[in-house]
Amino acid sequence: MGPARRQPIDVTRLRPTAEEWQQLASAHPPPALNFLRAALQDDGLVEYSAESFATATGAELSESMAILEAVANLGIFSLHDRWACNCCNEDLEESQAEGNVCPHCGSAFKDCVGHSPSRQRIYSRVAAIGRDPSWVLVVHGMNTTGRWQEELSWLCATTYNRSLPVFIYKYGKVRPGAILKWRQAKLAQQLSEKIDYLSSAYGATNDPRPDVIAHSLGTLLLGRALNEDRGIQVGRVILAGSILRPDFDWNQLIERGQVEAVLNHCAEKDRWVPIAPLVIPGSGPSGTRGFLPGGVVHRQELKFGHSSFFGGAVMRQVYKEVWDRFLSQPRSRHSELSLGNPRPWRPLPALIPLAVRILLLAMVCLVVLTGLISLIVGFKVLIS
Amino acid sequence: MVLAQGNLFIKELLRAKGLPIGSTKADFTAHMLDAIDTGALTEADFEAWLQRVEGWGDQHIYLYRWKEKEGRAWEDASAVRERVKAAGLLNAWEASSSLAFPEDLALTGIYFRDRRLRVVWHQGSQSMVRDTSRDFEEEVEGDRYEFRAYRERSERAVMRFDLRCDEKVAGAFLQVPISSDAHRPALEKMMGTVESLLGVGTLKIIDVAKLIRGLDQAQLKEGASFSTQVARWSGPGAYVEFGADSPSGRYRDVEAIRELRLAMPPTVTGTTAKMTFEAPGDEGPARQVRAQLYARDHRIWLGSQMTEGQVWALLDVSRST
Repeated sequence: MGPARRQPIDVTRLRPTAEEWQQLASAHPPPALNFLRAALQDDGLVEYSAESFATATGAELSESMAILEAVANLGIFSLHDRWACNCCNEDLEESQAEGNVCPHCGSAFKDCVGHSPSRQRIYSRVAAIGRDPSWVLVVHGMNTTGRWQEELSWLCATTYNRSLPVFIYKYGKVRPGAILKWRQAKLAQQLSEKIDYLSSAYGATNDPRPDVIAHSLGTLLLGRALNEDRGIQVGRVILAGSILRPDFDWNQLIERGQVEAVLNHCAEKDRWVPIAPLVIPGSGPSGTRGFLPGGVVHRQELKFGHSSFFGGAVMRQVYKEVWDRFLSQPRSRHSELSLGNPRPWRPLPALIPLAVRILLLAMVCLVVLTGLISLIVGFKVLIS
Repeated sequence: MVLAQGNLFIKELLRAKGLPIGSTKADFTAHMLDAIDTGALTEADFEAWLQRVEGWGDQHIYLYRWKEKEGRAWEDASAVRERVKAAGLLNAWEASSSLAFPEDLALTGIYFRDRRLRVVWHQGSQSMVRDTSRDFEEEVEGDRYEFRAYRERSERAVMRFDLRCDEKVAGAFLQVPISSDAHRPALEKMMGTVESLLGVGTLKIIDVAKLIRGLDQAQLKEGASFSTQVARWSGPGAYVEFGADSPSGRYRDVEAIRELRLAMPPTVTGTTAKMTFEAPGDEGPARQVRAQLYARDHRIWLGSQMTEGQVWALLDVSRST
């Protein structure tokens, strides 16, 4: 075996392209190649010697070496030699292997089996390690109890090779109450208290910070909770159908250590997000426009509506291809999830949403008054 | 004694004094002898340097929590001296650094500075090291013989007990091999002397199983200054081991293995671990050092020569998890 060949390594390349895999498949047996393909899908270190790869795949040693060399020639693997003393089996640095005596056991290499240290060629793909979500908090929107949360909970629980706790936060159906500031504040406070309680309970032996998946009104409650309670810390946040204002400053929360990273998953055909500011105080169309201060991974789905994320097969695909990757891949790979750009936004003049809310309130009062009058008149008629 | 220290540390001494270094131990020797002749290196320089590097690293460590019973007895050096006197050990109090090679383990110094107590023992020993450059073959009475050479080397083992009063932590540091019959008696001799100074029952050994769990858990995430190469975990009647193929590797870098480790319940106990730490460069030559932790006898073994500051930095990191 000659000296390790130094391949030009492209540190941004973690795995062969689809075309390269096809080319490799034409020259190498599928089982071993598919095994390697699956291994390279993972983040972090992937390392084999020809012997260990042959053991893992059942392939012949020569085949294993050929596959590893072929992938190395693409610049995916770096090569180095690993040395070991044949007397004590301890590993040696190259400079130690060039000496005469083992620094671990004191034996002369020439006194050991083979009369010299053993040498093994190693193929390594080094990449940033993935992230391990600790637990997930799911917060639904208004006017729904969020049946999709059950499906999402199942997806989270079955994606990893370990149990991933999911807490579905339910705050009931909120219809007219959403337009009342005091009701919003109360809901945000309750959410904050729940996060605090669960983090303390779970944090004794685990990372206490939850990753959060929030939809619609849930996004507004989450944003308020984080802003109003600096003690709250979460991990990564996924927003779907977000009704936070596009000028909401996620950067500040990230710098304060309250939030690790944010994915704003936007829906181009969302009809409800653009009208939320007219009705719900403090809200805005970030679920269609994006966030302006930046610091957020922006992904715009051109065919999605307000709740398109949660339909059956679509949700499974969204979870696998976007949300799980956002939660578990290193941050250096988040740019792969970006699609589109945030759009400019200016808030409506304050009088317009105020007028709409007053009108709504007036209509509600009229309905209630009409109902009361009808009740009184009907009662009088009954008595007379 | 100086040449018995690692090359890295000898070079550090020469560099610190602004002396020429060289590339081989022969160069170091020559430059050091020149420096002694010219007075550039004094006995005080050697003593201070030996205190810092001799007997640190390549040793077994037992860590203790200290329960201070008589606060005022540890306020200052004069109070400590009285305790040393009461224990009948005054001849070792503030003794100048020993350069002796006693045949049996001997108490050579007791020191108290900056609210830190240090008790030191030394023992000389001889070992045979393989030297292939002196091998030769010879024909004797018609038969060919190969003669393999070993060179006798004199060494000095240092044993220390360090008590840090403010942090309420202590460490017993031994260079006696664990496989040697002398290890346990040496530790018992040390603790006997220590108890005569500190009192009985003031030291509680730190549970290394908890250290293994804390360190291994902390290194699962990116950013830790240490990592686990191999860790073995035991349950009631079975065990599992997580390890990297490479001696400098980290098993946590392999996603599939890391996920398995995350699935491990807290009831499983760490029994042994091999870890790699970054020894801080401001305390000595910056390098990666290997430590092995053994829960059964609550022992830590450091496999590289280090400085005093580096050893304590590593122990502080371990305790902080």
